[in-house]
Amino acid sequence: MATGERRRTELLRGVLDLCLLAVMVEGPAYGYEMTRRLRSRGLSIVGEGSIYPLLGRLERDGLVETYRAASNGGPPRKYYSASDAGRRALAAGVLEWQAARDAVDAVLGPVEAEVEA
Amino acid sequence: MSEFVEECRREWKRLGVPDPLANEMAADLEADLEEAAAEGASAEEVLGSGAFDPRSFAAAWASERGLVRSPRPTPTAAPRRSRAAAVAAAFALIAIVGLMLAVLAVHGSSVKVAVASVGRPGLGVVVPPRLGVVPVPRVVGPRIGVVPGPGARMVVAGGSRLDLRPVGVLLLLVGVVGLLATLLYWAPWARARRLSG
Repeated sequence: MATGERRRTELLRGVLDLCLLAVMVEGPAYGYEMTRRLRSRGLSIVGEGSIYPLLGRLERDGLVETYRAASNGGPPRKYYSASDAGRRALAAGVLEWQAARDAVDAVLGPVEAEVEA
Repeated sequence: MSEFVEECRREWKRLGVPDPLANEMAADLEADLEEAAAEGASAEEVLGSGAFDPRSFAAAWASERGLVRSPRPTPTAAPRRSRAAAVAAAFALIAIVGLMLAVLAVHGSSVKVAVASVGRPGLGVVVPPRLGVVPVPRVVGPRIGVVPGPGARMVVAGGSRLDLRPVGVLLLLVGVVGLLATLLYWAPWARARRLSG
């Protein structure tokens, strides 16, 4: 794996659970539907770990609620939605992400300006 | 059911995931893969890097869901091959040693070192330092000198004879049987039968 890909994987690994909770807040979704929502925002999981183990962990930790329902003309699917605990975890995680992003920006921002100059 | 999902099911069965839950996960996975395929998306877009390793993927999913206490290590191909190769090499070595002993016993009759005087240069046998006892074929014709290498310890077998042929044959048998058993045990079809059973 190239250095760039590896770094992207490492970065994404820490926030993919937040991204899943975020797309669930938009409305209940089954596994592939979440993949589709992420992809529509430019976030492809190709080359990353799968979302299924992550969904399993969110379920085990009580951060999501699940139910089975028929999908559009397809077989019954397992739908996931963020629980109250999941929404609180998402809010806290977003704050942590923003703080981390701002701190990294403060360090890398000037470097980017120097490279461009 | 796709081959990937079948492989996952086998892994869940191996890990002891209850059937209803394994069926549920398999059905969800199958439906997602079919939907993705219908849209022209690859399995990797659904499964990420897990698309290349169904057993690890299945174990990780079951573990994260709390369906198994901790993922039992999935024997991967490389360590399995190296372990099989090591065992096979050990048995092969035993067989070779047995064969050598048997041949020596037939052609040399004994390990008696009867000639220790240094003969003419060029006829000496240099004994490696680590060898304590050196089997030397019985010499009928010209005398052969045995020249110990640096640090070697010469042991002269004072005329007593030890028939190594039974030992050699026994080692040869153990080596060959062990080698065959190793090859049969680690053969891909035999492993597949054990895992599916």
